[in-house]
Amino acid sequence: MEDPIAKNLKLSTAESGSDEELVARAVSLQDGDAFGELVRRHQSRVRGCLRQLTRDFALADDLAQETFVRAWDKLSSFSGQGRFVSWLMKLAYNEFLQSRRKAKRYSAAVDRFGTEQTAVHNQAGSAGVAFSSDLEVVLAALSEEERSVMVMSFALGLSHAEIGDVTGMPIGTVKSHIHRARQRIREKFPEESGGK
Amino acid sequence: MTGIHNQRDDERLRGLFREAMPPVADDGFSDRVLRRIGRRKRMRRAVLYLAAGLGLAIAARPATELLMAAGDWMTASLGQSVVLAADRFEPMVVVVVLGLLSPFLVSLLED
Repeated sequence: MEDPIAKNLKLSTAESGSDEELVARAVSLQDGDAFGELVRRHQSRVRGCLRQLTRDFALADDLAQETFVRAWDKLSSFSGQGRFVSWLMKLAYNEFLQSRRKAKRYSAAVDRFGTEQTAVHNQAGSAGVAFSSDLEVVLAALSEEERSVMVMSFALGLSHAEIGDVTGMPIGTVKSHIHRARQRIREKFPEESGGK
Repeated sequence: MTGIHNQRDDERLRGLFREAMPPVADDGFSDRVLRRIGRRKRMRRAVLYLAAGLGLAIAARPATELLMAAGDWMTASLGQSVVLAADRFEPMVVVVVLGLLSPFLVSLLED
């Protein structure tokens, strides 16, 4: 049984450190409290971003959980060169892409069994969709890549270089996605883009 | 002109994202993640011990035979009975020795 005073001291030092210090502590000492603090600090951004990308709260939370478990496994590979949050978002984005691939494979398999099952699947799928805001309307008009890039840029405040690192796209492609997304929003929603 | 337009668009979009993406309350999420990591750690350790035990069980007989052969060779080449004499070896002794070493081996594997 751990001494409560020692535990409190450990927790307070975990709460005060920078992300990089916490990573170092978690890797070198296998300190679960340090990693717990990292999870608490970043869960909102990771879950929020995945909710925007998947538009399904339950799926987003599952993917976020998977992201943090994977982050624990791969923590020693974080070099500390970039920000921890963009490293974490890279893992989250990979989880998102994997789930998309699985969903595509699943729907392709379901399609083979005919339209009856597809209808059932679509009903089940639409139950998970949780957004009905202006933002949802705006994002629905964009391609998947454009949506991802816009969420990372405007919701998470990642730089173009960081988005490029997270998605694996060259910076030029990131910029052109943002440019095209802006244009499309301006065309489709002049009242949203200030083009009144 | 386009720059000003883009800035205005960006501000509107940021506002839209702020509205649609309020901070997500933890609601036990972090604890669930840490519990899952703890379970994985325990599972990994159990699998390692199991694998080490299995390895020991498989290695015990060949290791004994190897040691017996080494004892025989040393006796023959040195012309006298050595400490590691063949008749002193029992597979159980080897298992016990390897068993005592296993926590060290497992910690090496974990690292």
